[in-house]
Amino acid sequence: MPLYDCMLLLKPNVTKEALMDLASRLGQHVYRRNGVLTDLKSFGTVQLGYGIKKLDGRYYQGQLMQMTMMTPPSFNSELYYLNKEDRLLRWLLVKHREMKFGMEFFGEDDAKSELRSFRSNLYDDENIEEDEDDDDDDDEQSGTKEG
Amino acid sequence: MKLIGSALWRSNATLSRQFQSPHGIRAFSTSPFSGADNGQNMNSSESIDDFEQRIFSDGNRPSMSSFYQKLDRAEKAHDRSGTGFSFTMGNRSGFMDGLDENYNSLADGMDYKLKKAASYFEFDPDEVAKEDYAFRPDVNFLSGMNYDTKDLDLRKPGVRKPIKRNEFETTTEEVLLKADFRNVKFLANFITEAGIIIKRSKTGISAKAQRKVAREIKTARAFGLMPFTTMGTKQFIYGTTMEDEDRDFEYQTYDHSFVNDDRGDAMES
Repeated sequence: MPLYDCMLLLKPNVTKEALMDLASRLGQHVYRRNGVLTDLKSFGTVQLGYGIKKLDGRYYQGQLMQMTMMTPPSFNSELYYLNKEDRLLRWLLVKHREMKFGMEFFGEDDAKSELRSFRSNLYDDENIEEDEDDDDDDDEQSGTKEG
Repeated sequence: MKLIGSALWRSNATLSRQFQSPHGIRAFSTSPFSGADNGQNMNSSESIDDFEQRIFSDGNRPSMSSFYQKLDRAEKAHDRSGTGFSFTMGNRSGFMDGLDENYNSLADGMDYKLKKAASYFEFDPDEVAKEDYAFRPDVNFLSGMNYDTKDLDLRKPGVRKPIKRNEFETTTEEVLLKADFRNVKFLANFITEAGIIIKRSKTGISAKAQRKVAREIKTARAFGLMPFTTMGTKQFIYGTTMEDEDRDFEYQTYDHSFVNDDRGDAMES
């Protein structure tokens, strides 16, 4: 069974409970097909590229969620019931890619450098040693990346 | 035979008249030089020097009035009288007046004026204190730009240095690593202000990477994370809403602090 990513884009006003209800419903489906849920991730509220028009208006933000699961390939057609889900703006099942996620994925070097500049602003030049340590860490990471 | 002879004579006469008439016309419409020609023809016996002296006035002997001087005088009198003033006459007289006996174009003071105009460079001694003063107006020095002393040499034409914009640059490896429809921040670098995917000749990445980028952008579009087109509303910037906001329609103001202060006051009151 291949590994899939199920991306769910929910309306911004959906509560956490409703969101978890949807996710658990999906998980039940996966388990019914002898699948495995390997990961569950929330990207929080994201800004959309255009206003998605639903029955109750236009949405310019959405809550992005990702479920990583191991299911049979026929699972996609079983998710069609999600089209009728009124809490969802979009959903998508894609093959899982070996990608870095979270901070590593979204920020990459940019966000890390931003963070570091923020930290250096906080402490200024008082803790030079710590900065040096950070640099060392980064070097090691980049080394592993290359390797 | 007589009849024929008279006829011949008549035809000859008419012919000769026809030939003569253009000559007569040319004689009437001659410039002053044609008169000189006539004079030369009539007095072919006199020497060339005599002739020149008679026609053109001799500087050494101004007392002897030449043909042209006489003509000038006659013309002036004619003009003053005001009768029979024609365009050609006036023109000619003016031309002749300009070339009067002691006339010298260098002595009219124009030469001095021209020299002065050519050598004078208009400048304002208080120029430096003016608001829009620029030492090198032909070069736009931006803040944070470096310049050599060579650049300040006013004798050399200013070389406009292209402004280095920090444009997005990427490599094929980076694209293959980062391109994903969830990584909107990265993909947003590959669309124009209007939301169109930037072509490969601009991005400079491999065909494989470009295909991947295009595919991911299209996936992101379908998923709603990226715009198909901004439809001329506003540019898609990662992390900002595409919703029309009031401040999008505000006039752009450059007097930053002033306007902000005003607005703050208005909000408080």
